[in-house]
Amino acid sequence: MPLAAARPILQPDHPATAPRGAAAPEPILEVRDLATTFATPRGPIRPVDGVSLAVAPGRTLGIVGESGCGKSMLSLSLMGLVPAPGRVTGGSIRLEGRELVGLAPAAMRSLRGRRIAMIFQEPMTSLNPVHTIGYQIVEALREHETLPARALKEKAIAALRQVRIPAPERRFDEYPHQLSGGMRQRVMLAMALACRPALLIADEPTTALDVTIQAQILDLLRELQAETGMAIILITHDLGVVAQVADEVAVMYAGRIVERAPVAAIFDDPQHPYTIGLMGAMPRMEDERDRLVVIGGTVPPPFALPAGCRFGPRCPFAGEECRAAYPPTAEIAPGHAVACWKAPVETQA
Amino acid sequence: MTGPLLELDGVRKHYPVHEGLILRRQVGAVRAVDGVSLSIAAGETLAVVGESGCGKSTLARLALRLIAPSAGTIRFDGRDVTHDGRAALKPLRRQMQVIFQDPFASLNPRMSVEEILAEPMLVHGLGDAASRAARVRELLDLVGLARYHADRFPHEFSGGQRQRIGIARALALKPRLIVCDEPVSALDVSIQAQVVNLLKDLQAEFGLAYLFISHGLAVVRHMADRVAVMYLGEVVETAPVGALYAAPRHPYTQALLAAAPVPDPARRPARPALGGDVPSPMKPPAGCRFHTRCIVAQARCREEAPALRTLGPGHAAACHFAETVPAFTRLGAGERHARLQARLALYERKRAAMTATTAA
Repeated sequence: MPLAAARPILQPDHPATAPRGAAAPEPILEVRDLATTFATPRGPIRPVDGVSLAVAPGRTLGIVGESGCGKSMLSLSLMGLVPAPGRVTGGSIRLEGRELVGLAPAAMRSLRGRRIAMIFQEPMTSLNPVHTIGYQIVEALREHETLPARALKEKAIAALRQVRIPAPERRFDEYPHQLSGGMRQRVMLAMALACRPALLIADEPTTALDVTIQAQILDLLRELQAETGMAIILITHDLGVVAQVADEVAVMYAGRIVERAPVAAIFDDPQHPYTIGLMGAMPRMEDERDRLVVIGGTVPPPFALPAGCRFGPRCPFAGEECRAAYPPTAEIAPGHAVACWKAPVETQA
Repeated sequence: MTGPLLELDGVRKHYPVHEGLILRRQVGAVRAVDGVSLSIAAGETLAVVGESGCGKSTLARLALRLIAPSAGTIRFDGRDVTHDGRAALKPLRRQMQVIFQDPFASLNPRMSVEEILAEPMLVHGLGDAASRAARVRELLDLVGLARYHADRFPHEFSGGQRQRIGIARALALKPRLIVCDEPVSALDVSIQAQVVNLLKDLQAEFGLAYLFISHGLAVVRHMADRVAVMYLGEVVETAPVGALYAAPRHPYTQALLAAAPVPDPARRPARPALGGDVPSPMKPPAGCRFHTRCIVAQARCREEAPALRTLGPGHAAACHFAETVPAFTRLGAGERHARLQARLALYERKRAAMTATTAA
């Protein structure tokens, strides 16, 4: 097997970010028909089932969905971290032009943390409580760089400074329990960004945080993206967060992307009945006290998917064709694609 | 109209903090709740909002008299229950129930749904086996679960369904007040909407009063009649829900509203409204507790703690400068886009038709 590590690594820093709204630059990550399969006693299940997406440098792709839609398994698939007995069984993941599906574990480990990094929802469980945060950042750096201890420490402190942690020299020697939730998430970010990855996957990074701290972390993500030009995939269940930080949005349901569009179009012109339902189910501060739109039923478990469109049994617009076959994904406007037989729904009135 | 159903008057709860292994000296106290006065009328929803550590969950437990206050008075239906013991509290427990945040942790995994729902009646010695079974069926109908669910166990249900079981259990004794401690925070958006609507239907049907504890400002907007905002153990602002969201007067309330992400990509804030973290409730800042993070803080705020002052009908804020803080402007222009509005209306019509056919 040709050793991928021998290939020239891309520039240490990323090309300058293209201004928002300009012609989309070449994607840094391109995923096509990705499938992740688990063998279970009830037969194989596919929490990620034919997902295609792309994200360009300096851009943020928001992936929205409810529990069980496969969004977290998608991010683990991208990281090459699918837990056994699951594995990626189809499709392609190209990061900076390089195929990740089928990559040897050692080669993947060398990319992970260096070109593609991830932060999780609960920083307390991702940090080791018995080591100082400085030790943990140095440990992550040492995985990819051979530097003297002093240089590693300086680099770790610089990483803490980059995420706006006050007095980073002092924080270096503190333990996770001495930090607030917001500070811990900053440490996770420092660790993830220490090697300047080209792509950051943030899986519900602010869900466990208070709303004022969430605003600080989202703002920090925006600033760091502007500084480094990294691409971000932000996984969340919160449409408010998506509206605040994403450039493009993909809505996931039962392992598939049912709609993807530029962020303005998702909120202004949602096409898929599931997206429309989500918009109505979300309580808004602007609204008077009234009833929320309800999406009946629950997300089907992956071992009991309905035939045809997976949203069909919950969909008010569903008809014969929806029960017969899964709808193809059609582009209805530039960058706006939807997988629904009934879209646009106005024709169903 | 009679007096309030539940009344808290200057309630405090301080937890002593000890140090040392042998000589356990008290070195301070966590002032979890520090002088809170609130009241809830029958059939009303009072929401308490605030960030972690503001004391809202301690307040919920005080209201339920699961813990005793360090100072202050708690009255239920006009009766002083501050110092009641277990026996005296037992009849009270029938009248006030609770719904917890985590529907996974708050249901006993070894009990069937029927046992879970019948247990409150058993504890209070109500009815016989037949009447309890009938009540369980009634409760399942009320919260939108099927009768065959009675024989199942909590692990067989989704999060939303478990929360329905929790709600059914709270209703079992026909209480007058339900304390809802973050009842929808752990649920997905579509499920959250189902539960919010259910809570509102049940309130309309039974005239329930809710003490609704939440950090979700948007959910509170949909649920509450009145809102109390807490910061570091104190109520900093209280107002009818419309006034609070339209014209918040305390800088902290304004910051909270500004920090909540608005689901509209056209309105992104330039900067986060609030820096820093919540200070430790063991050593709250002197003067106004919010002055360390407040953008309008003056010298006076560092020295003198502001009292809760009435600013309008039912509207009070604890800020020296409540009259002069700049008006809050971010909300208001939040019209939903016309196209989305039309699609939502269509969705609702289609859904009504769908439920009608399923029911038929």
